[in-house]
Amino acid sequence: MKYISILFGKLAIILTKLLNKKGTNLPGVVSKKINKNILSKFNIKGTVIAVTGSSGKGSITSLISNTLIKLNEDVIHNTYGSNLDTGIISLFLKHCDLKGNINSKYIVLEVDERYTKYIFKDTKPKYVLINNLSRDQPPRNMHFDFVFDAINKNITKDMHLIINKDDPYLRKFITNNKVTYYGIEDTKYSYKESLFKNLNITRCPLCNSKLNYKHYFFETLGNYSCTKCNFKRGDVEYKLTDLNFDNLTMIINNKYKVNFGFDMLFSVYNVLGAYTLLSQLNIKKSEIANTISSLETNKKIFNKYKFNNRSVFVLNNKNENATTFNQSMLYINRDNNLKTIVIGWKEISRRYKYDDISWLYDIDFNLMNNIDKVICVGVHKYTIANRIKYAGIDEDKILVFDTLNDSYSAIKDSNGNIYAVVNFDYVEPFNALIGGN
Amino acid sequence: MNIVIAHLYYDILNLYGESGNIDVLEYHLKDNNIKYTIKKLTLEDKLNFDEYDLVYMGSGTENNQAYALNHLKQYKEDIKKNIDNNKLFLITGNSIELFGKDALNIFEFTSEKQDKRTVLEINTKIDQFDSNILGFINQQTKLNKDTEFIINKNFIGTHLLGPILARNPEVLKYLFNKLTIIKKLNLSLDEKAYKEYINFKENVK
Repeated sequence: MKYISILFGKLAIILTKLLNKKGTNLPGVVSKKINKNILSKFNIKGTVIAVTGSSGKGSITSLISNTLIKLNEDVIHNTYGSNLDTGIISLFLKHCDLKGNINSKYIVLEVDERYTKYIFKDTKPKYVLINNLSRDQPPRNMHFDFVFDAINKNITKDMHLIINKDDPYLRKFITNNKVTYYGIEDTKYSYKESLFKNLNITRCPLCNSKLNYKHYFFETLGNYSCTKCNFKRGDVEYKLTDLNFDNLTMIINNKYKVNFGFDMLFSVYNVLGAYTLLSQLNIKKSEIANTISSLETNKKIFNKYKFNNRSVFVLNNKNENATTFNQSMLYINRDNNLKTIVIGWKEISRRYKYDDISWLYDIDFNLMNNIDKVICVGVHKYTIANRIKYAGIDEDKILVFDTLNDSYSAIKDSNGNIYAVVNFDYVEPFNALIGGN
Repeated sequence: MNIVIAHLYYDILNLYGESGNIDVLEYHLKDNNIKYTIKKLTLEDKLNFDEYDLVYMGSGTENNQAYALNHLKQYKEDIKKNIDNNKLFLITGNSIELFGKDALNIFEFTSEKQDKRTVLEINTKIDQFDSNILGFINQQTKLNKDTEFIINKNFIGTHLLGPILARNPEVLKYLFNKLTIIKKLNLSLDEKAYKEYINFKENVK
């Protein structure tokens, strides 16, 4: 039975290739239908590295696997988006022999936070990296405590956790496991008073007293300590000791210089997390630093170019995930020049039919300063415009358009640097419209 | 005159963009040059319900909901008295569960934990309002009651979550009429957003 389902799965891979379908989940879906326990039937010989959490999983696993590939290691990785059990089954089918043996040295898995219960049990990761848990797709995930429980239940004693210690919320993963922490020391980009309103944690996970911050990096990330008990951020093993957004370099543990993709904090955390994980694998730290530095950046997540001599910044956001938009707000807030902001999306979710807009009010749009125009685009243009009004932007600075094409003249006639704060489904259309010049 | 708004448990009952309800109130008070104070109150604070013109409370995680209930219990009689005396309350999301028989015992309904979570977009007519109410439900609990609303004197409560006031111009007007004498409510974008949403949903069907 075991070999039959693997054989059928392999056949499904050949068929999907013939049909020229890119859907990487399909072979997994087919073979799971034949044998619902198929994921447990593979014989994994190498080291399984899992990355889970709300965002950045795809970027972090890519950093890890691309670094390993450049170092000539034998590695397999479920590429962006195929992070459910069926995506991982498809990956395994592709790389196993006919008996279900997977011989690769490293198996790097991006794991959907709600699927850890299926995936951890059968793949038994040696390392589990959690970079963040945020407000993300509430109709699917409800709130962060639900996601925390979903992951925490599936962490077993033998797993080595790699955790971002700057987020007090992630300290809830307090277990008897081996834990390696990473984090950022104070930098010139930190701030003293919270800039964000709707935070996931403001109180001690041990005694529920208020947390105090020496400084913040973003939302709840920073150097915190409890006002009552001994709980505090404390020291970390892998620390970023210097950060420079102008030349995109960071120094880790006062010694290793690493280049990163773009001048946003999540880019820094992604690299620091990947570096910390790779450091567990008996690879020279200088080699890790040099190799990560040499990787190409993902232009879909962040892009920068000129339009009529104006600077354009294209920031990729995820609808129903206020944290991604808040990152963009902090980014915009750092620029003191006159600015025009374009906000919009094709659809709120590609996953389900709900069109809730509550998350728009979790975003601190009031961090937008020195605004020429805010251009609201798409099927919910007035909903966006109304949100922007309530963030304190003058109504006569707010323009609405049904489509990006319709907004072209308004963008052209506006002033200042242009920031596209768009959902991922508007990134390419925006680049096609404005980036073509 | 100074309008005092109590935003209860602002730091722990802060899910689903519900702080937006406070932003909306502030916007229109400012727009009308009405003096106001927003009191951000939480577990360490002493509450004095007699001082407030409007009490607002929103959604939280189940853990935080329990902390809030535990703190609120000492004020049960105060809350009852103030509701009887026509104090204005706006309660959204799972906070409404705290006012039920099985919690503060202020109203008759109870709430029950379900095996399956209810996720629902709401676009529905209720008695007190002419136009449909827009909102969202994302709850593991169910109110043992035939509507998602509790409107009793000046207590406006709903199991719907989110920035109710930004989404429903009629509810906003209703609330403001009870809060203070107001000259103008600039709701032009609110009305357009409301219509846009209703039309959008009709076209999707």
